[in-house]
Amino acid sequence: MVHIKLRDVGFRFDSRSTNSLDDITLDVEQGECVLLAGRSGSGKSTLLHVLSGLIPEYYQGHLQGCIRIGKDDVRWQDVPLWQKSASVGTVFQDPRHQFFSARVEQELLLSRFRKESEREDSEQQLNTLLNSLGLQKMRHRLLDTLSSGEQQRVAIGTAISLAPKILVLDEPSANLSADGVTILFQFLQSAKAEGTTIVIAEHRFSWIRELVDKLVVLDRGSIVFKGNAEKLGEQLFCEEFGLRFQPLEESGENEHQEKPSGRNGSSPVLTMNSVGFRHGKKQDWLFNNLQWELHPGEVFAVTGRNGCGKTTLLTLIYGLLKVGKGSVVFTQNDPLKALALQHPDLQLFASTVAEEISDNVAEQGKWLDRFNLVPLKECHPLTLSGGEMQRLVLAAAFCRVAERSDSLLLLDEPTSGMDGYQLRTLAEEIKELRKRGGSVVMATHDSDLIKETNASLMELDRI
Amino acid sequence: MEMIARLQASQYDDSFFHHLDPRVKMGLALIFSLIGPLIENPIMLGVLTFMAMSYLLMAGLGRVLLFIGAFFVVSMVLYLFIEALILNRPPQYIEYLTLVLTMLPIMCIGLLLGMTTSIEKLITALGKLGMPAGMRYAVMVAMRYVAVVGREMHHVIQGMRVRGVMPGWKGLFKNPVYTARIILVPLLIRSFKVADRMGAAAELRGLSAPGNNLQLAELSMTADDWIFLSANLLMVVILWFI
Repeated sequence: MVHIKLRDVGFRFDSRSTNSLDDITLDVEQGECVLLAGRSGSGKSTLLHVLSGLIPEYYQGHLQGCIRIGKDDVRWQDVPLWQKSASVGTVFQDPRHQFFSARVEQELLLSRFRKESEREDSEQQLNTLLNSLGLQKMRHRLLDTLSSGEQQRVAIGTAISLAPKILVLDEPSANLSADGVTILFQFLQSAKAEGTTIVIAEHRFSWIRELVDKLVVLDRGSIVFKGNAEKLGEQLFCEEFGLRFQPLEESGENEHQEKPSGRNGSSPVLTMNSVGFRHGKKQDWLFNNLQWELHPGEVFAVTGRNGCGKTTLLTLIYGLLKVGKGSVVFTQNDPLKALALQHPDLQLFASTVAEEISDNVAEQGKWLDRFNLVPLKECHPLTLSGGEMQRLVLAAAFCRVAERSDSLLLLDEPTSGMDGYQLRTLAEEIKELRKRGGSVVMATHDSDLIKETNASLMELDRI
Repeated sequence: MEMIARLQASQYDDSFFHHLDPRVKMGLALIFSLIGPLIENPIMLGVLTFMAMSYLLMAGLGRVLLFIGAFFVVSMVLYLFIEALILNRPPQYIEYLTLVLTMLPIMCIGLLLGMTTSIEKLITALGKLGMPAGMRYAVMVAMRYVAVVGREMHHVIQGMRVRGVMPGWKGLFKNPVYTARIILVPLLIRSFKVADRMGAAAELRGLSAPGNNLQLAELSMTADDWIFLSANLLMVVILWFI
């Protein structure tokens, strides 16, 4: 049975002159899992907004074509937005902005208990929901104290609390650790087995490929490929459409690969001596007695489950936080360091994109070109899209450490939401920096980035 | 950011005051606000203040009293400064004390309400008091937004330190416009984006649906609620007449 039927769907935002979606024709059967892939800005999120109903009621513009979801006789555009949530559950990339209560339990009950009459059997249904998402132990916890992965699971819980038949997910794995991704996969697998139709937009394919029935590739708002997900194993196909490439036989981990060592008898750039850190005197140690050395030319990927302290480690190295015990020692007194944090829009302070990178015009040109920002150089940084801002923050960080060979670059989740083309550009820059003797430490969950940069792994976990 | 987390955590603690119906606490705040200013005797005002402070202590919010104490030390210094240097007259200690004792109980009960009542209970109680769902929906989003903005502010300051544009206190006085610009512009733009996403999430979850009465918690007035409210009303009226 066809569950989602799109015919010649086009959409143009009121604020833009060109269409964001063009001639989208797609059938999705009930219980199918469809993967939407494509470059950043290709229209994946816009298509998801059409399915969730946010377009055209919340994000206004001109929507054309025929959309039927579930019942064949009702146009999706004619269904009120508040009614659509019972048919389609939506999960965004960043779960923090989807919450309205303070605690997990209340948040999950929020949609369900809109009416007093719906309270019956609530406890049993809540328990089923908590168990299916592995949230039972944290039902009374404050949402703001949960890790990103845990928050993402709560967000999924809120989306499915009204038992929708269709689940729409926009890059749900972008901020998840390997453990979080496994739990998400298991959940989607059981939802699919129960007949839920899943439409998922993703850049990281490895974890979901097994579940995907249909691959849909978008480019500039149009569908350019519709078919089998095995195409994701073809390098030429992936490069043509800016997708991340991963051969079928690879597992996604690279612990067994040989790493180029930067330790040719050189003294370390950085030494951590029995470092411990906790956020407050009454808090548990986030990590304790951490002993580690970083040598020139080394690239380290700090991995571990959400909330284990990856970002904290980077901020300790950079000096934004002070260690609780032990010491962080640099060989040089004043090493050249740069840190690119998550949330790029909170790290941009100049008036133009070019000024954000450097005051030096020659340097500006070089890094604008490397990160494909030349057409935007006169724009205000805060008017850019999320992906463009991310590239700008990275360009500014690379520019800063390019001055000296013995520099240290710290990157916090640099590839969340990044397509294959951009990921390969970033990996090339990291390799280039390494060749010059620079060192890189990156907190990342992204196995594609680890593989592309051939980074050594540092597994960090709460002690 | 930590302060907001602590505030949220305190709303879910377990004490007699956490179990009171929010309507009782709102009623208490109303009684103290209306009758407190009418009591002129400083000793009776002192008794009222003692009552309000002891409620905070009983609710496990002893630390809040330190905050209130610090607030009034600062206010007293300011008062003495104004009296001595601007109005050029000897300080009127009794006048100041009466003013402080009028404000203190109201402040304490306000804090008691805010720190022992969860968002869910407050929204439900406002509904039972007749506030329209649309307004409660706005209150709920605004309360959630306070926590979000606190976190965003933390990220902006961290971003400034990373990019080496942190102006510090000196910069604030030397170039206030620049300082305001680099802090407020990203914060405002980010806030618009967050508000946009929260609005979209609320729509998708049907929170603004017609007939949604936002009954987020089960509330009913118990014997404890009635006894506590009546006892306080009686006490305040007695203090007023004495």
